[in-house]
Amino acid sequence: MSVLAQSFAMVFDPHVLLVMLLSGAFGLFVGAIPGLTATMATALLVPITFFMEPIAAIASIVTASAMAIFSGDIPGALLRIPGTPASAAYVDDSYRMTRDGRGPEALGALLVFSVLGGVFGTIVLIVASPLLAEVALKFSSFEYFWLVLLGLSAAIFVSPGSIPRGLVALVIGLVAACVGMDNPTAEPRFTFGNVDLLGGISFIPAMIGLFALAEVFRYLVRGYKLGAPLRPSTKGMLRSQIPIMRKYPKQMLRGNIVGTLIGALPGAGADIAAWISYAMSKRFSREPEKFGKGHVEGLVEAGASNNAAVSGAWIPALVFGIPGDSITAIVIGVLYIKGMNPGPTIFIEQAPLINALFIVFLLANLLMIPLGWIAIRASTTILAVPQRVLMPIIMLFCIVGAFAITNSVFGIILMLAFGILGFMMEENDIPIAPAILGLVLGPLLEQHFITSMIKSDGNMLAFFERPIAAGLGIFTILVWTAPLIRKLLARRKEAWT
Amino acid sequence: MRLGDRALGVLTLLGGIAMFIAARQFSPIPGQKYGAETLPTVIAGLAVIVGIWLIVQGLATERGAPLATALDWAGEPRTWAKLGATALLILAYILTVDWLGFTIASLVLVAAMMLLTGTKPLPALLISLVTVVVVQFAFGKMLLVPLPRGEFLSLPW
Repeated sequence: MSVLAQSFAMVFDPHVLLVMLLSGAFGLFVGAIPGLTATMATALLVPITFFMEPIAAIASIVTASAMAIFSGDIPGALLRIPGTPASAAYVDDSYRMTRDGRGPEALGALLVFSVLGGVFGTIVLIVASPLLAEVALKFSSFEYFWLVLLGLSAAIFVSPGSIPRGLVALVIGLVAACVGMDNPTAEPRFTFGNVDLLGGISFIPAMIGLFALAEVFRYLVRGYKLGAPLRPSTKGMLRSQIPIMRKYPKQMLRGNIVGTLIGALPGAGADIAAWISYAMSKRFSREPEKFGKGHVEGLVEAGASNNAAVSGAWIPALVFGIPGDSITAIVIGVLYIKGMNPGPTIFIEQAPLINALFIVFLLANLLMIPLGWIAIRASTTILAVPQRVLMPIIMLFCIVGAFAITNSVFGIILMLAFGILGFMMEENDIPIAPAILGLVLGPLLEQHFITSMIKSDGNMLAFFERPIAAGLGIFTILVWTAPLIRKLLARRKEAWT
Repeated sequence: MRLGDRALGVLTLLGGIAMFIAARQFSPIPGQKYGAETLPTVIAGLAVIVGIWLIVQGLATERGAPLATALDWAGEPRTWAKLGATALLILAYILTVDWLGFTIASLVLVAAMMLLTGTKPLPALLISLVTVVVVQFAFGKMLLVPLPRGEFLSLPW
């Protein structure tokens, strides 16, 4: 039997398929609950995989994580409670679409383009992983520094409304990121003697507060006047994606490519990818003014990018055994337990297994269409629940989600504080999303900057001395100065004529 | 109260200055130029720039306008009461959950919130009972979150 046939036989075993189905459902459930993450879904599966065959074990984890990443978009679109920092990038668009009764279109787009992104990333993984991994290894702290800075700039760029108010949000997020003793000299910063704050502010309670609890407050203030979002029909949800696909092929491809490339860099991950893609989509769009107001274009590009990045993260994981994010770190552990040692030799010595793994990746992504469709149908029923009943229930979920992160009431305290902050920010037209990104990327920014400065002995020019770093650096600075340059050019043109 | 650009700018500027002063208590890594003070200092710088930007923008566009405008709901005491009650409920939950246990504390919280949003008492009680039991089962039993058991009645998981 040929190697490929062997691999197919391994995957299309009823036992493996059943495991994939169950893990997929589990991943969807966990990912859709605000406060529970894809990482948590994978981590919870690890003890169960001890009792499985190698392929079934990997299939279970891969399926669960892919589903959980997608289903993090569902509460974002329906209730404006994004499940991951990545889905915070486009939550305004998807939620606004739901309010306008176009919820299924938004969720359908996120589902279809997530699947396409995931499949694209997997194909790249199959075809070009050694090559890409080689490039990814060239990324050192200098390159990562610029990448993080680019991600932060994207947050400002995409936030609707005034730029300085977006920057205020970013400052708030960065200040929150400073808290704790996880810094170069391990001095407690801004902890005010509180022991719980020493560990820093974890972003999940903060995100639940800023988005979900603030939403509850907003309902108390304005809910009666706004009314509930329309409960949409899910009929033709997937078919309506075909014209979108025809309309935005370039955006889809760009999202796929950017997502895979950024995902392949260990430590950058889906969060930065989704934000950069959303910003690119807005920048190159013919209708940038529609972004943030219920426009599907950004969802196409950023949704695709999000899942492509998740697939891309497997590239360094399989080729070198370097985890790109916490999920791949867990999977590498499972691979070792099952006797598959990730590294260059895995492609030669265990060819049937690695091929089976690729098939699992493709299958897991394709399985997302039927399972995701069911999940969307099931979850839109919550829009039929009157808001006066729904909001208290959401509040309990917020509390439990925040509690589960720290296993103490400290998570709930953080959530309450950020909930009040988020409410006040929105009332003042300060966007919330840049604050989340600041909180998530702040520690990375500091770490890569300090590491770079130690390596170069404090020489700032080192940020431009390596080719990729110089390219990224110049690009980042261009992004910042582009509006200024454009204004100057326009003025000169006026002077000429 | 919605702050205008000038007021928000002044606040941001003051925040930046405070941050700068606070950052001076941290020290660089021994033998290095940078350390724990670097990021706070950079953030302080950013805040100062943004503050000045907002003030300049405000001076240019808000001439004659008040520093801050009252929001549409500021004159409704009922709304204020609801917001305050919600925050107090969560605060009370934080203070008492370890003592009361997850079941009772959550039941009180959800039922009180439902009454606050205008649900009728009987449905409110029934729905909150079902919600709390389901959430307790899903998180406590299935996802093994160690929910506080309290000193009184709590479900056995």
